[in-house]
Order: sequence, then structure tokens, then C-alpha cells
Amino acid sequence: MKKRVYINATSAISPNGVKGEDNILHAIEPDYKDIITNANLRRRMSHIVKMGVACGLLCLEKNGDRPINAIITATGLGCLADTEKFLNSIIENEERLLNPTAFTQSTFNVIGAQIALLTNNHCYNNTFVHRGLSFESALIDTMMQINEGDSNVLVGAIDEATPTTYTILKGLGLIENITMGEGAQFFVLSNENSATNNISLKGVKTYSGKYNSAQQAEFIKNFLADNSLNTNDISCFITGDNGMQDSIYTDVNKLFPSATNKTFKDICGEYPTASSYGFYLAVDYLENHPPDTQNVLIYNAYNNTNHSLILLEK
Amino acid sequence: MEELIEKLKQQLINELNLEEITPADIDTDAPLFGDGLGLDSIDALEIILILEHNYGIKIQNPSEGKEIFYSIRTLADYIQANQK
Repeated sequence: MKKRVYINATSAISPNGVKGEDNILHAIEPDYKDIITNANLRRRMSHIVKMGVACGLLCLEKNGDRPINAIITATGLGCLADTEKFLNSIIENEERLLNPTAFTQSTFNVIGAQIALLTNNHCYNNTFVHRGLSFESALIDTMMQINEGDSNVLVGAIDEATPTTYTILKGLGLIENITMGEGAQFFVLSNENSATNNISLKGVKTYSGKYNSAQQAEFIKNFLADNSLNTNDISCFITGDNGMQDSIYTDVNKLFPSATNKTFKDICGEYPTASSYGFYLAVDYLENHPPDTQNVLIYNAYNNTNHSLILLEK
Repeated sequence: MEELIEKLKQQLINELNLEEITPADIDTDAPLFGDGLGLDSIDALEIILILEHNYGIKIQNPSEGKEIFYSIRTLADYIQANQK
């Protein structure tokens, strides 16, 4: 029998819907000195690393003393600023004399590794880099870890927006009429309900191809049926609608006429792991609404690819 | 010499991203590694790059590294003696 996967702690460093002058939704950052107290480690960390490590540590703080058995992170594009710095350095220096810090800090798993180092955690540590399905892949791994015996798993997602990436994506026509964003969200998922809010992750499903409206509806209905639910059982339907005119989200809201409809990319912007902010919003919704609110479904996709469904229940 | 020392201090602050440290905070004769500024092996690699990029100096004999990298003054002495 599948174990129930409770959500015991959450944290987010996100833009909160505030756009910068560059039209990007940049995360509103805390004073990192208060959270990452080791100055020698902090000075080497780029924006995304500080954002991710601080968010992870804040989540662990909320989790209290309960030991963590696994750290699982997700990122779609990784540490872009350091990667850009390193690649520029390769060109400028004709592939010689490369800057070691930018290289060591530009790897995808640096955030999960730094959290483990700072908390002396020697357990399972894995990073998923699966484009727009990175966070969902991390959640699936988390559920498997808990079903195989782990008690508490720290799982999170991080992506950053840089001017270079913005220019490249805009040049490729991938972010026309879309607001780019960034952020870090972390969660402690557990086989025990220590937060007493009784909120749990019930299921995750992904599909990386393209769908028409009928296939999309079938994908959603089948997932709900797999979880012994139908569309009327969903109290709140949260979508990753990013405002594109030919939105793949046009028809899906019609599947849930009785549900409250919410969006999250107007708050956090578009980025590969933005669904982690949808997840954060879903937990917040379940925490702050009456007991009859039972099931929240998150549906995310980008440009009709990387479709994902995440189901939470209370 | 004093001008070179000030320049080196600023380059170290910039390249090693030494937060909340000004050139005045760095003791010219204090050890850079361990005590003093508390730099480590990755910083040593960054300083090698500073020497090569900015002064065209390559350290030919690695065994001299400990002596050359001892302090800002020993670094400045080495640059002055070897810069072409």
C-alpha cells in the first residue's frame, strides 16, 4: 500500500508579482547574511545558489529537529550566471586560464550539495535537470523515497533569470508576450503528519509531448480516475497559464466549472520549475481555506509541451 | 610599490568577492591563507589567474608558491621582480 506523503514545511523566495525595469519578475531576496552565516561559503555563491541554499535552509528551520533522510533538488536551466561567466571566460582566454570558482559553482547539483554540506547531511542527494518537468521528476523521486522507507525528504526547485538568457530566449521567439521569472521553493515531505495541517501530495503525472484539447482532457480525467476522483471533486484548479494568446489553458478551466480557478505565473513568472511555486500556492490555499476544501489540482505546461499534473489533498 | 599594493588589494577584493572588506581592512603583511584573510586553495587558483591575466606572470616553480602567496607584500614583491 502506498504511504501518504505529508507536506510538513514550505518556503519560497519568489518575485511576488513585482516586475523589474527589465520586464523580468526577479525574486525578492532576504538578507542572506542572516541565513547563510559562513561568509567564506557565501562569497562564492551566485544569485541562484544563494537563493536556493537560503530557501532550503529556511524550510529545514520550519521543519524543526526532525532528521532529513534525502535532499532532492530540481532545476530546468541550472546556475546560468556562473555558466555564462565560465563560457565567456573560455572564449576570452582562448580556452586557457579558466576561472575555477565559476566552474565549480555552475554545476546543476551545487545547491543540493551546499545544503548537505551546511547541514552535515550524508544521505541520498539527487538533482533532476529535466527541463520543464524537473520539479515533477523530483516529486516522483521523493514519493518513491518515502515509499521505500525514508521519513523526511527535503525537495525543492530553483531557476534564475539572467539578462543573457532573456536575450537568447527572446531572440528564439520563446518568450513572446510572456513574462520571464525566477525563484526557489522548498518543501519537507514526510510519511508523518508533523505539521498537523494534514495536507499531502497524492499524485504526480507528466507528459512531455504535445496535446490537442481532447487529449489534454483525457490526460487530466485519467489522472483523476487513477486517484479515484472526478472533476467535481477538485475544489481548486491551479494552472500555469502564462497569458499566451493561443494558450493551451483555454479549454482546461471548463473541465472544472465548480472549482476555484487560480494561476501562479502572474506572480512568479515563466521558468522551467515554476510549477514549484504553484505547489507552494496550493499548500497555502489548503492551509487557509475551510475543511471542505479537499483536493487541489495543479496543471502546468509550456508552449504545449511538458504537461504536468500534481494533486494535493487535505 | 605602495600603488601596486593598493591595486592588488582591490583586485583580490573584486576577484575573490570578499564581502564587506575594503583595501584598508587588509593588512599588507598578514598571511593571506589560514589566518589573516582566511583564503583557501580555490582562492590560490584565482590569485594565479590574477597574476597571469593582469601582470603576465606565470609561476614557474610551484614550490615557491607558499612564499610568494604569503601576504600582499610578498605578492607585490614577486610581481615587481618578475613583471616584464
